[in-house]
Amino acid sequence: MNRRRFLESALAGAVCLSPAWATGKKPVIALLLKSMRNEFFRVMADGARAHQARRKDDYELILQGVQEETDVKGQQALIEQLLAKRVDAIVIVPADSVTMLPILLKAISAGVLVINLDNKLDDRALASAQVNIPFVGPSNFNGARGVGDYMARLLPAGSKVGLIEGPPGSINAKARSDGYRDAMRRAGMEIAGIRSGYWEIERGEAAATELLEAEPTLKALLCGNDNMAIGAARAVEAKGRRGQVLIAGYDHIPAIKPLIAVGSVTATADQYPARQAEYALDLAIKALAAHTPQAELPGIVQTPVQLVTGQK
Amino acid sequence: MKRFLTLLRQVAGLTLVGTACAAPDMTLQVYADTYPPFLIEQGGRLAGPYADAFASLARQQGIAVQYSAMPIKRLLQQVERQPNSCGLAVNFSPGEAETLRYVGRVAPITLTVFARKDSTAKINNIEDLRKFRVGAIDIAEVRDLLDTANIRYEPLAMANRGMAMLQAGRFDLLISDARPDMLGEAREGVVRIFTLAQVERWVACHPTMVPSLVSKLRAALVEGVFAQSVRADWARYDLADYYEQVRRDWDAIPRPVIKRGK
Repeated sequence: MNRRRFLESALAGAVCLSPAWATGKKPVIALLLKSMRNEFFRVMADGARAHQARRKDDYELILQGVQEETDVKGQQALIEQLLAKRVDAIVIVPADSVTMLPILLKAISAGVLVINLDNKLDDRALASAQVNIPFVGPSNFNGARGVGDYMARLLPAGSKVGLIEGPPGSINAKARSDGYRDAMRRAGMEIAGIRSGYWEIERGEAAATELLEAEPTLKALLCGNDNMAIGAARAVEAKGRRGQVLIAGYDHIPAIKPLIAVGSVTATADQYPARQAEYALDLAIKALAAHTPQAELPGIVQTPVQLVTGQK
Repeated sequence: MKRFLTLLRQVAGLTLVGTACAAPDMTLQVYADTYPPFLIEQGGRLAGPYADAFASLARQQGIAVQYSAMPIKRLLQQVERQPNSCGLAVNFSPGEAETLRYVGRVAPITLTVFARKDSTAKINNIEDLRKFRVGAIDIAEVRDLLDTANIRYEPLAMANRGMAMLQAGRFDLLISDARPDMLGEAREGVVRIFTLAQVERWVACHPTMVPSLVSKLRAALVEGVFAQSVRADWARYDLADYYEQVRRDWDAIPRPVIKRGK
């Protein structure tokens, strides 16, 4: 769904529901992010701050995040604090697609609007809980497949490639791996191994080293995010195989740009974190203004994703 | 007369508001790939206990279902494009879950490792699969399991050809969601080695499906297509025993609360 269709449908919902009489009090929306050490989320946070600055009359923003990518307990504690502050809505990038659900159900029960951003909650858990939590984010599958298609054109037929993916509990990690896998298979490449780099540089480097040692003829490392691609580039350099093993990332964070410029990393995907935050905040503001119940929110609001390469 | 016209205007106004907010058309276009014996094409139309039971459950929620048979890859693209449409009995895929809404579970399925009957392969767990040529149904859950365990495999473009390919020696082992007790003639030539995993098939719908319709579908699928009210749909296909077995074993089916006496 593009932004115009999203806004139209949100507006249509507003017409059908009770009118949004002004209460005189600005709603408070909390944006809860994952690893603030990851540049991707810092860019997302900047986008949220800019959005709030433009619309300061419409809402107050509380911006919080944990330091680690998989810090579920940290996120749960922050949500407890937000509930104590009686925020009106929580927009969350969950550290885990399943284990974060109970605390989010608690928030919904407390009357807080919950919106899921970037890393999708597991539909299987949502269906079991019979709850609707809208997802705002890109198709990670399509994004990774686009990167994979580009990489495949640069590889000899039948090449062996390795995948470095995010944590097993993240739906977007699995979706990206499946996108890469689809592209490689259609191009006749062989997936020689998969390791998890848990979205982090050091663990990405360790995963890449392991794959390079296990399969010396590896021709490419396809990474689920740019941090792990930076780690993979270090591993390839350390093994003296620069230029022989191509590397792909995902996210287009600032730190990947110099590596793409010099060819250490071949391609990545930009999924516009600032715009993702804007889409989610727009949805929250409209839903709060229209008193749209959680169950009536749209299921999926797709945001853009685009291939980025070093080629002009 | 003036009061009547005022009333008429009010009614007309309400009607317009009502039209703008009217409930969606409750005819749902549902696509499914054949999956014998649960989904079959019969006289040019989609039938089988999954199709009949789902239609019954949807009807109870005021939803009419219109079926079309379609291969799974086309089906997923079609549902992504067509508002007010769903795919019946699709496997869960993290990638598809970002563009489709998985609204409810349909049925449990068992992923089983099969070998030819004359096979001397000694296999106790997933690690042992590495030593063999493996063919596997092409679903995300299997791809993830095998790739993570570093097992090479040949994904099957047509799942229902798997048993024949195994018997023809195309590979040593087959990972399939076929039930050993429902293999028909193929049962003679193959043997079940072990259960790899239990997963589920789902109803997945267009991402913009109106929330009220999603809620109704979820309510319809609380017990998958194994609710008590659809027993007759299973019995019609001589699958009442299987239906009862799933009702006993599947965690989606609520267990009766046994009150203890004092």
